[in-house]
Order: sequence, then C-alpha cells, then structure tokens
Amino acid sequence: MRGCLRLMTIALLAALITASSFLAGFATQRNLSPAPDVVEDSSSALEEEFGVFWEAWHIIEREFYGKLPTAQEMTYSATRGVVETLDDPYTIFVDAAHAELLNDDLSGSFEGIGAVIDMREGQLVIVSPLQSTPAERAGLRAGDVVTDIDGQSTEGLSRFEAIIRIRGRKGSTVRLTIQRPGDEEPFTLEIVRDRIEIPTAESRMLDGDIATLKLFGFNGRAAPAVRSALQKLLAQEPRGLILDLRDNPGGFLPVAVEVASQFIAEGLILTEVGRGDVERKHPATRDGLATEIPLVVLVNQGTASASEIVAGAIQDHERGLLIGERTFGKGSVQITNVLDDGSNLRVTTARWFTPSGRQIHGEGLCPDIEVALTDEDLAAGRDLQLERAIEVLFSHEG
Amino acid sequence: MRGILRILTMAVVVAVITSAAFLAGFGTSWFIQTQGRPAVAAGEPDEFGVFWEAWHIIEREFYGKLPTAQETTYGAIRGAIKALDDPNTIFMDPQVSELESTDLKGKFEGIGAVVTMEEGQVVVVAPMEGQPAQAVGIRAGDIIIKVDDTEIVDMSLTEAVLLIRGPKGTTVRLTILRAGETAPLVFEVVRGEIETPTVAWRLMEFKIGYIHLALFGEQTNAELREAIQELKQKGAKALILDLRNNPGGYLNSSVEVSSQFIKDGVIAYESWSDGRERPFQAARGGLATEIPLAVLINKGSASASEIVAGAIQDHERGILIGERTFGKGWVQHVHQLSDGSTLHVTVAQWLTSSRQQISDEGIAPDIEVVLTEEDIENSRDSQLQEAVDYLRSQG
Repeated sequence: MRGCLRLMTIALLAALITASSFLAGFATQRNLSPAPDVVEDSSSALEEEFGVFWEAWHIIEREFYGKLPTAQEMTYSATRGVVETLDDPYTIFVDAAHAELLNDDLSGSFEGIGAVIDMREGQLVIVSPLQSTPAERAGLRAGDVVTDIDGQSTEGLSRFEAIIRIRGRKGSTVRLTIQRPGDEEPFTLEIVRDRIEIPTAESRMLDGDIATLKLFGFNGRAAPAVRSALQKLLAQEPRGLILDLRDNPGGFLPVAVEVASQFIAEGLILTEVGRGDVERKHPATRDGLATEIPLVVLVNQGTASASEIVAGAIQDHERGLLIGERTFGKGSVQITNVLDDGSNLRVTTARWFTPSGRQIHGEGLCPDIEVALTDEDLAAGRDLQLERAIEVLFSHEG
Repeated sequence: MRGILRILTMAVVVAVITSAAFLAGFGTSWFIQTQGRPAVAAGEPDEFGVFWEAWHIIEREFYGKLPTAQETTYGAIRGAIKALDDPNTIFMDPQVSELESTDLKGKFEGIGAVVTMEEGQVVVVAPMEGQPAQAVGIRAGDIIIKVDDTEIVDMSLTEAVLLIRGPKGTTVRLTILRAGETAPLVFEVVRGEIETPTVAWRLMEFKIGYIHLALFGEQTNAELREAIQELKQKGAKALILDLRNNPGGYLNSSVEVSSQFIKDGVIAYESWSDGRERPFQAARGGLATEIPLAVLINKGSASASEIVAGAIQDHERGILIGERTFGKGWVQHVHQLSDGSTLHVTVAQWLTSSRQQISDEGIAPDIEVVLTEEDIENSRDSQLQEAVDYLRSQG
C-alpha cells in the first residue's frame, strides 16, 4: 500500500518519463492504511448491492460454454469494469504483470521503442521520437498516427493502455501501423525494442548569450538536473533564459514545485484541492537559483500536468512570458497505490489550481505570445517559437 | 415506438438471444429466475480481495463523483464478463432487459412511433400507421425534448423510450420541436396497445406467396401459420420465405417455424462443450411441407434464421438464394437476476441436422445472388427476382 503522489502520467509519460528512483527524495510517500477486510467492513453500500455480481458470476461458472478465466483474471477484469464507471481517464488499474513493466521506469530507463506518445482526439499520435532510439531509427516522425499495434486497433485505448502494448522486453518486436499526415495509405513498421535511457534535461548556450534549458519530464532526477544545469548556465552570465517545456508530459507534483521554485523566489506555486474541497497550498521552496534573470517559457499542446504547474506559476507571478501554443490542460493529481498482489491502482485524488486560482483541467494555459509551429516548419527544422523567444529576450534587454 | 428500437435492439441484442427451447415455451418462463441473494462474501475466491482493496481506495480517495452502488456493481459485472472474451455473453440492466422482452413479445403499450437517436436527440422516424402518435399529428422528423415534465436531453434512447411507454389508456404529454415552427409544440397522446407483427405476407404474381419474417419472437409461429393458410386459400402454388436481415430470436421459435416446412426429422442439434448433444425434432402438423419453397438469405440472416435456413437446406426442402449468412451458431441462456437485470450466457452451440457448425462459417446459398450498388440505387431486388424465376422454372 505504498503510494507516491504524482501527476498523471505514466500514460503520457511512460514512453518518456520515468518514475524516479528517488521516491524517498522528491515524491511524497504516503502510507495508506490497508484496505479493510471485506467481511469486516459491512458498511460499504457497494457490498450491500454486490450480491447480483456473484449471482451473475455463479451462473457463468455453471453454464458458460467456453473456457472460464482464472479467478485472478476475473478479478482484474471486474476491477477494470468498476474503474471504467468512474469515467476518469486518469484513474487506472494496472495488473501486476504490467505494473512491473511500467515500474522499470524507476531505474531511469525502460524497455520499449523510445517515442513520446499522446492520445489526441481518440487517435494515438507520436509526439516525438527520442534521439538515438529504435523509434527514431525506424523513421517515426512527430505527428504520425499509430492506428494499430501488432494488428490490434488503437481506437478507444487510453494512453496508458497504448504504452503497455508498445512496450516490451528488449529484443522483442512490435509492429506499428502508421498513418502519416499527407499520405493516402497507411504503412507498417516493425521495430525491435531496446532499453531506452530517459533523458531528463538538456542545456546549452545560444549565440547572443541566451541560455536554453529543455526539460523532458518531472521525474525524481529532474530537480537536481535543473539545478546543476542552471548553475552551469548562470556561470556564463547569459542575458536571458529560455525554459523549454514543449512536449513535456509531466511527472511528480513535488518535483514541479521544486523546479518552479528555481525561477520563483517566493509565494504560492499551486493549490491542490482534494476530496471535500480540502485545500493544500504548495509554496515556493525559497532556494531558487534563477529568480531574477529574464525568462521566457516555451509551451505547446504537449506541455501537460507538472509542466503546466511550472508554466502557470511563472505566468501568474509575471516572472516570464509563455510563448507557443495552448497547453494540454491536465490539472488533476493521482496517487499510485500498490495493491496486495503487486497490481497498481492510480486514483485521481485532487485538482490543482494556479496561484491566482485558475483551473487548468480541460482548459490548458493560454500563451502570452501565440506562435504556432506548422508541419512544414518542423520538416524544415525551423523553430519559430524558439526564434520568437530569442527576439523577446533581446527586446527585453533593450 | 418499437420499430426502430426493435431494429436497434435486434441488431445488438436479439441477434444474440436464441433462448433455448427446453427452457419451456413462450413468455418469460424461459427466463431462469434466481431466488434470493447469495451472501455477499460467500463464494468469493481469495483472489477477489484485490477488487475490494481497489474499491475501498477509490471510495476513500477518488476526487470525482462516485457512481452509485448499482452502477458500480453493473460495471464490475460488465468488466468480469469481458474476461470471458465472448461477445455473446452479455449483461443488460433492468431497463434494457424490459425493452428486450417486450420486443420479443410482439406487442407493447405506448404511442406507436418509431424513434431513433440522432446527435443526442430523440427523433421520430415515423409514426406507425393508425396508431395514437399518428392520430394526434406527430410527424416524421419531430424531435421529442420533453416527456411529461421530464427533459430527455442527455438521456439514452432506452430511458426515453421507457418514459414514453406506459399502460394502455394513460396519457403522455410530449413536447416537440418541429422544423419550421418557432415554438415547441405540445401533444397529449393516449397510449394504446401496439401490436408489432413479425410476419408480413402477400400473394405475388404467378401465384407465388411471399412471406417475410422480421425476427423470431413469441408470436412469430402463430403469425406464420396464419400467413401460410391465407396464401394457400388465395391459391399460392409456391412460397418464398424471406429471412434477410432477420437477426434471430428464440431458438424454440425457429424450431416451430422450421416445422411448418419440414415434415419430420432433426431440425438442429444443441452441442455442449462436454460433448453432449440434444436434437430438436420437427413437430408434426406443418402447413407447408410439400409446396415448392425458396428461402432468401443474406449476411444479416443470423442465429435462429440460420437454423431455419440450414434445416431447409439439409432436408433438401427448398432452395436458398442470396448471400452467405452471418454465422452465429451459439445458444444463450437468458437469466433474469434478482434485481431485474438479465444475463445472457453462451451455453452451447448448435449444429445443423447434418452436424455442420454454423459459427463463423454461416450457411452458403444454393444460388448466390449479391445485391449490387446499382440494384440498391434502383430499389431492384434481384434476389427476390431470382427466387421468382427459380420457382417458375420448377413448373
């Protein structure tokens, strides 16, 4: 029953993000009391009504023509059925076998193909292939729609389910059917899975003394990585800093607070509102390294969850301008519970709001300066959003 | 009300029914009524503890609105059934169960309008001829927005239909949007008993009798017998039995229907996974066991339709014309659970009298005639035409 507080995720992130090996450090660890035993807890309304379930199941056991599933398979399936009635895409049950596959993230790497994916309007979309991974070598491109995984349609899958299907042991093969925008016919790629090292942050100095810091996710290594990158960048006395949160699907909530606090000296980072409207304020940690330097933040529709916490706090504190496109709009918090048999239950437990009280869920953040990136720009390797950010930092100086 | 529903539910529901004949006759007696409820914890396998562990976490921590205990239980049942990986084993909540059973009964109490769901709105497809809805002036295309004082926006079609239906003689007030009208119209309709025949017939030229079976419900055999008698009286010398797009219905109804055409012998076998078999024998007293016969089938002919078509083919009693059938050879038992919901469980498969398996294969026609796009555009029924030509050629 150990849980870690995290924002959404493995879904968006599994391809990219990783839960950290530092649960102890950054993610809030929660010790949940064990579930009451069924027989003892007769107070639950569900248990009063649940007789019909066994009525149905005993008939099936007695009469069903085909092969009966094991008690475990039936249990998992029933649990998924209940989770579906909650009508919340972020509350997810993952059985023990698959939970293990995803917990590989803890080591900072996982076995898969190395592509960031997202479900957009019911379609499984490649947000970006990671550099030097099987996904990139196979020629996957940003914007590709994956219609089938190993011959099974991706329609109606959650991101999470899609990730579970794409991932697998190093050396095994996954077959993806791809519909590329502009192409008439879909095509199929066979990709051999490999161990994917998950990048955390990337920093460099651009011409004109502009520092850029790209953050890939908010895993347990992210906060120290951001701090050490900032130390190196600031030592070169840049005139401004670009924080790139594009296609960053999020991660742990406490890590988001830690990262936002590098840029915001003091005050509120976010407010979490849980069951019964119980509020929990998350203030800045007051150990920021880059609280004064001119700052702009790059965002797009792949900027989700923990990324939106950071971008939203920076916007509300008027600490820097957001440039790019409207963000994803994921403003809920999940707790991952490890159940007795090793399966995982991730439950949405709260919503969060920006310091000024804005709700992000389903809305996203509107950039201060909207700059869209077209497919042609992408193909030509032109980054108009980055160019605009540089312009803004120069004009700030002037 | 019922026409479209029938099509809808038939498509998803009745297509998978074919309750077993040995469950006894018509009506609801073929349901298996389970008395009493098992104690909650009784018979729970140890593995199921994880379910409760998960549920208690959700109950304690989930941020959104929790479903009711009933919704949760139904969610768990639907989930558990998915583990069977059998599209024909299904769970229906009490409302859907009620509609399904009235669909097969051959009559219901309501206003007599065919409705469908379009873009979240309940739309009248057509008022039924001579029924209350037509009498008060409800028209095709009308959008029903309110039933008595209940807004039906966001309701499922099933829920809306059950609201509109009600005991014969009672009044229902419908608020309707109609194209061209600026304000909503209000109609008061006195509900009646609406019969929904499953058999339609007519005498065609060349003294060929045409009989169409929409599905295999409780009244189908009686209606069929009436049809055969009337057609024979009018001088029919040959029959066309149209089973196209007939999704099935009760298994016992299909045996009765087959028995109108087949004098004796086995109609079909029910076959269990343990190897046991049960033959269904033709009942004596068929009204059309000699007359030349052609049967129209297509890929919408499923289940009970395939039993009839298969028996007629095996007994060389008639010729099958059209397209290969759907291929649904599974038998479900329908259990009514203690709260009014129903569970359809696949218990057996059935085989034709020559012990051919139907599932996935379907039944191939003796004369294949595929409807072309052009036929459909010109409303030309080349399959029916082939049947007529065939029967004429037989003298």
